[in-house]
Amino acid sequence: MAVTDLLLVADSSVDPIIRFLADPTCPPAIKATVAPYNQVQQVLADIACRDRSDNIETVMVWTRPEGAIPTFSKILQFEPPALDDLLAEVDQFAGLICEAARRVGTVFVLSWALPPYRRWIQAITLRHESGLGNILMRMNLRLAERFCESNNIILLDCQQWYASLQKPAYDAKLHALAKVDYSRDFFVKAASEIKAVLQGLRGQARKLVICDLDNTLWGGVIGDDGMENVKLGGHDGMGESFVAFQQELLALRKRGILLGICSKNDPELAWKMIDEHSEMALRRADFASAKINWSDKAENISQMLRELNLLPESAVFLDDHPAERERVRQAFPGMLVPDLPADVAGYAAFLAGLDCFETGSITAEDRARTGFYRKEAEGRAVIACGGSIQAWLESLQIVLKVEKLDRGNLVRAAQLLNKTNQFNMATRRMDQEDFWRWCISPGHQAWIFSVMDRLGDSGITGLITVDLTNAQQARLVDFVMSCRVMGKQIEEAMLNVVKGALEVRGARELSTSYHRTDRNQPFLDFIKNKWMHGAGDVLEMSKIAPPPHIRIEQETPPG
Amino acid sequence: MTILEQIQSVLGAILGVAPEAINRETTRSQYANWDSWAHLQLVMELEGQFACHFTMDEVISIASVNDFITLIERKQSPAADTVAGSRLPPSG
Repeated sequence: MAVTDLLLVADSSVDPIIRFLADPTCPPAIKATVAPYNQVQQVLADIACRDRSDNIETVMVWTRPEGAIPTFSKILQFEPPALDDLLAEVDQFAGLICEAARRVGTVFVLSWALPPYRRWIQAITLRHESGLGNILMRMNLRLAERFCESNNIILLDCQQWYASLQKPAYDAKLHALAKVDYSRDFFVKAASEIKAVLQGLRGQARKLVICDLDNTLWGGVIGDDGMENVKLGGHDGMGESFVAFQQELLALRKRGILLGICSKNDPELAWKMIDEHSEMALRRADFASAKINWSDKAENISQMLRELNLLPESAVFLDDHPAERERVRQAFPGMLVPDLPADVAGYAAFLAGLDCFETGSITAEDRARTGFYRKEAEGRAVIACGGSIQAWLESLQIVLKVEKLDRGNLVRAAQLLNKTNQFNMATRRMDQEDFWRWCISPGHQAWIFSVMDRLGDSGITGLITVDLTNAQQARLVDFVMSCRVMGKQIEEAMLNVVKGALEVRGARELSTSYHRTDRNQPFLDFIKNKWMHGAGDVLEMSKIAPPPHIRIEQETPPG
Repeated sequence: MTILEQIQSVLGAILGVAPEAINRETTRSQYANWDSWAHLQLVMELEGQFACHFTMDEVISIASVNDFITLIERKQSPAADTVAGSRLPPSG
């Protein structure tokens, strides 16, 4: 696993976090270095002057409001608030960060908060334009506003870290002895939050939550107790707790996390409960896949992952039964199988507190994801019932729409580049603006692909970028396709589109930039027979052919 | 794991030496890199592992592994809660 480099730019001693960031048991391992103490502005200005090629992977700007903004420090001492001066200082500080961010892969900025021990005057702290709390909120909002055009700046929520810690965040002796303004527990929390965000930005976040049913989605056993007697809602503490848990799952589904069911149960009874119980927050359409039978759960999950084209590392398994959790842990070491709280009342809060679903953005495709997968499942059901794959593919009436990269599709394209693991040739990770700059620079070209069929629109699900610096010998730089549309020969059609466009421009040769990872075997399986000699080599053009069942729609031909 | 073994593990990692090289008699003066910063890291880590809190006086007074063990044992004893402002015994 690659180690991420991080430069910590802080106005207090944050060195204790280095050990927690480096911990390899909690990926990603981060090798942090600390910039000279309390020289935030100088260090940021220095970074802004660097050559782009001297790129820093990740920077974290960690300041205290009274350290970064002199006027705020005066307000802390009860001087009259000079709001214009204060906001001008915030703008200047934000400007420095934005300049530095042009030379850095990702910049984390810790939002400003006061430690919980510092109690200001409660009666006036939120008073409009004069209370300390009010002013602090304005400062953070101003930062967010200034950063909104810089997609590689991530503003982290320090207030949430303080609030969720539930242990002392400050240790007076550490401040007295070494100007350390945070406790060990706070540093542990900060390290885990930074790592979680990085995982999300790199497409390593979890994408699927697989749930048991009895005593997980509702209280009791549907087969024994019957639908009327299971605990779900009904002004009952336990029943309400299960509803709250379902609502948390529903919220995850609505932002693009897939839900699955894996339950040893009578499928007829279980579906009747899901479809008809008045207090169910989740319904059949909320689940991308369901395995309700009496088979081994690990086998069922294995099948589900294959159907959804997901890896165990992408999934979370929630089950009240310790033995089932243990079975699944053993079968899938990469899967997250947490112990649920002993008290059902804590289920919803536990789920809401998980940090494994991080993302840099939420797109329309994310919101519609479950629907796509359900339609896929319908198609597979046709095959399972004896239909041929080719007949099914033809019946889908697939249309592959080809577009140029533009500002309108950039967010989704960058998300695809950064979140796709399996069908990804080079696994090149770039932030949105870097990707844009690369694509519009001379000799580079990007194709964006959307897939539609009679069952629905899967949206932007593929991209190919090419280096045409040598017009006759083109090189594929990125070849990425969402696992959502795998198994329909879309990749074949994408490659054929690009091949055709390049041939028109006089390219005689097309090579690949294949980089093997522990996850991109599906890409290798696709491409290996097309290489003339070996990995990364030139492709045999004659082996790239258009699949007959896919219609190409090229509204605005790239170039 | 005994208190000594835990200290050996943590201090060894912080100083970059094998845990076996550290024993009850190991003192700060034996290791040049057991500086104030390493000392503070050790304090933070042991506070976390033993769920206890050292006062600033105690942190400043600790000069050896033995001092740590004595202090942790005292904080873990049932009477610890009733001993106000516990202090280290005179060293040596």
